[in-house]
Amino acid sequence: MCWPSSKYSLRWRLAFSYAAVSMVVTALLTGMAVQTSMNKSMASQKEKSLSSIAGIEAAFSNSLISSLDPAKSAKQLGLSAGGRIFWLGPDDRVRVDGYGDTSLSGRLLPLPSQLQNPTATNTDIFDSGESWIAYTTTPLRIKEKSSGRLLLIQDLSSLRHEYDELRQRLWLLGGMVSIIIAALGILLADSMSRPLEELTGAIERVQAGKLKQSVPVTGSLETVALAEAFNKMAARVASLDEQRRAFIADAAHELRTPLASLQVLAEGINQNAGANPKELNAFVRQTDRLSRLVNSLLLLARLDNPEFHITKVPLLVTNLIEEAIWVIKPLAAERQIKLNIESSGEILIVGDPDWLHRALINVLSNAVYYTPVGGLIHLKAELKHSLAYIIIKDSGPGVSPEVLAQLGTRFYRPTAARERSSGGTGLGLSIVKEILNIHKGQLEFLSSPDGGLIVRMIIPVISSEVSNSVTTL
Amino acid sequence: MKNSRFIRPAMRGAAMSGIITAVIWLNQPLQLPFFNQLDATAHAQSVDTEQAPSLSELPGVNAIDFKGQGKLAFISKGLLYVLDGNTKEVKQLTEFGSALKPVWSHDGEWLAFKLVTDKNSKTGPLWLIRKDGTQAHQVQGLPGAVMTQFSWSPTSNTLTVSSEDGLWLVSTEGTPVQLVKTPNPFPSFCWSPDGKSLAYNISLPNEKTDTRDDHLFTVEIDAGKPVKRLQTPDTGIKLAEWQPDGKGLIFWQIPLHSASITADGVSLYCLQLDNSQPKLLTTGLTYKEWHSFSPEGQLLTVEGVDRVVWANKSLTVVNPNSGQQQHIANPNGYVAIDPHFSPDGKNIAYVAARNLGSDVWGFGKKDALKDWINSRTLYIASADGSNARALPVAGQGIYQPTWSKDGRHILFVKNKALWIVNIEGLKVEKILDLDSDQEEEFGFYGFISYEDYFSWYKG
Repeated sequence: MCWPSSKYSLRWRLAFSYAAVSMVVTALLTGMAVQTSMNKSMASQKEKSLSSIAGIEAAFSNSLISSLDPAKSAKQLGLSAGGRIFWLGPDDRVRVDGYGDTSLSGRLLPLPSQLQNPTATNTDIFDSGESWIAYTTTPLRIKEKSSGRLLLIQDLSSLRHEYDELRQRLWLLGGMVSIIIAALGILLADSMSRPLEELTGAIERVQAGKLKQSVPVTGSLETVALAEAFNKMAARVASLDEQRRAFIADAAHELRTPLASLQVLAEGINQNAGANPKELNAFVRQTDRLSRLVNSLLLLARLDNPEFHITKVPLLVTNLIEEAIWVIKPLAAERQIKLNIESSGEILIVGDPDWLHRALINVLSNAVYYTPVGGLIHLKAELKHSLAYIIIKDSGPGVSPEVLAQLGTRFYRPTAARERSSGGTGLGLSIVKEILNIHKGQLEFLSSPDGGLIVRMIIPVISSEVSNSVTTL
Repeated sequence: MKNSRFIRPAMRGAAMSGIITAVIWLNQPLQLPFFNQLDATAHAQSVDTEQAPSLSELPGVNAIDFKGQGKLAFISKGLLYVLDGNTKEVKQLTEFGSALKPVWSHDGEWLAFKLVTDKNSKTGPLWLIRKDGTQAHQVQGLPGAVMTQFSWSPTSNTLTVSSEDGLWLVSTEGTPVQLVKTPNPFPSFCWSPDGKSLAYNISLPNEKTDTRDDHLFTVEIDAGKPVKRLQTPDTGIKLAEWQPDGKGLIFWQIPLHSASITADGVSLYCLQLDNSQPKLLTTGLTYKEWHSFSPEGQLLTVEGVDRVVWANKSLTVVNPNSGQQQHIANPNGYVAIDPHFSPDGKNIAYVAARNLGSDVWGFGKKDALKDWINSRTLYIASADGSNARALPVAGQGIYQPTWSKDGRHILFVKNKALWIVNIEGLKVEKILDLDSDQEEEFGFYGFISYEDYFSWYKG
């Protein structure tokens, strides 16, 4: 259905559509039913007329042989057949009229063309304007000799009345059905449009800034799915908005701290009319920290961009680990931390080597930072269920389950042993998490039974069919 | 799809058009051919199909010897035929039932006849048919089914029918019209020579049939207003003819309305239309077959009482205007019956039969009847009865001799067959067999009419 404009509501569109469809169906069915019924009635009537005329011909012929009055015979036979009988002579002129209309005596009846052949038995039904008339004719034979023909004329007004009544009743029934269907259409449209209206209201409220919205999950499967999707979306939007607010607040807080330090240092330098090396060193550290923080924020912003794309290539996990170890090894050595690497074979994944390298460096750096001097970092790669697991276990302080749940959250740092004084921005693991998300992977944190933190970087491996045909980095 | 902006609307339009077409087609009024013609039949009369009825086995007819004698309608095995003396063609007109009493119209174009539905009374509905067998139809709209007397107008194709409630005019087209309503059923009537009037009688209702008065009326068929001409107290009237000159009416008076008296002979009168008193002409039996007019209007008839034909019957020529009679002597020992004037009025033909006397009322032996029938001899004579001579060549058992138009032939009935005799060459030929089913040759005390079985239009 093509609507001229969108100003009509779904309710009225559905109601009108249902009514229109039901009217069309009614018209089609009514027409078909009436046509079929009448065709059968007409055929039946023609059979009756032919049967009647055959009986009349035999009876009339016998009456003439028995020397009965032809006019009386025609009248009586006509009455029994429910019609008017003419006896037309071989010249096709009226010899006897069962109705006794003397004005027709000896005259030619202007018969329809279908009945012009006097030697054929034939019947047809005509519309006289006021009624339907069946004309049936058959040759008359008296003692095997042709004696003209008989014409039976029957008024079928009852059949016409039946036809009109059938059509009226079917149309009346169809009209009532259409009204009922239209009413049901309104109810149905109402039930369909109400959730949409509620959804529209919720969306408008979201647009107005009230992000915590939910709509009733009722109605059809589609509307339930829509409501659930909306509710999930609204919850997600609200959560993201909450995270955004918290992020902004945290970022402002994180930025404000070094800026405040820089301000104090700057004021000190200004008052002392010069900076001593210690103050300058502190100034540089704060500036460096501020720079790292800004870089991390920019990195996260890039990762948050939905249009951010990475270049995925096949690569071996062992290569990834070796490169990361090569980078982190000096830092670990500086702190006398031992790196223990365990590999369970060649594991091929697909991903951006630079970003995965950065992620692994972040995790390892984090481990190095939180591992005490002379500690141990155990690094292991394994394949489970088509997933590559890169497991980094440090020997730092243990982590409570509550903290585990918060790890990876932006600007989150454990408040106890893993505190800010260690020099982190609180964004490193968040970056790792986002990088793995982009690779359809996961970042998991576990608490080691003997203390320390276990970080599991989970990355899907490449399929075996592909792996045989690729060149790795 | 690149062209979807055009194809989709087009498909939608086509679908909508299809649905609308289907709805309209399925819901259109039932398409029956229109025909409403039963009332409009007048124009159809001009169309004349010359289809003859299917032929049964034609009866044996001697058409050669009937050449030039006009047309003869006759009944054979219940079917009506026409022998055309000009074309020598025999045409079967009916193909069913039992036709009886064919009567030619004045112009020889139409025949009226009865279709017998009651064989005992020989009655049935009246039918009309053209000489070629077309336009046959039953005359409907008349009261009752018994038609006893009907007569064509002498100048038009209009038939007068005496029915149970009066006189009806029946034309070859259209609806019968009742001319007059009479209190008595089956009134007697006769046409005026100009075909403009009818004379008829009515019997006034009375508790006693023998004391009923009869009235004699004339009525113009166009004006329709009856004129009472005569009233006969306690006496019935049976009309015979209108005088050929149109001046008077010839009728019998039936004393006391008695059928018995009538059977034995009643008085024949003539009522001049300019006179209120009827004039007695003669006395005789009430057989119109025994009346014959000369071109001058002289009435040749049979006089004599007694119902038996073989006694007291002789011929007389009466002047209806003056009442003067000229008695014609019978051959010795014979009675004279079945008279007929020649076309020129100069000669007469009649049947002479042995006079058995009025004591004979029947025949104990069949041979005696045959002997009497065989005594029926064809005679011709001058109009005054002189020069009477038998025509033995015609044979015996003669009935209803009738002159031909040329006056040289006489058609007669013998042995239930029609014969023709050339009175100049005295040649006799059988024309055809009649369909008379009269097993009883006795008739009514010797009187038999064969008018039920043939009708001669002399042309």
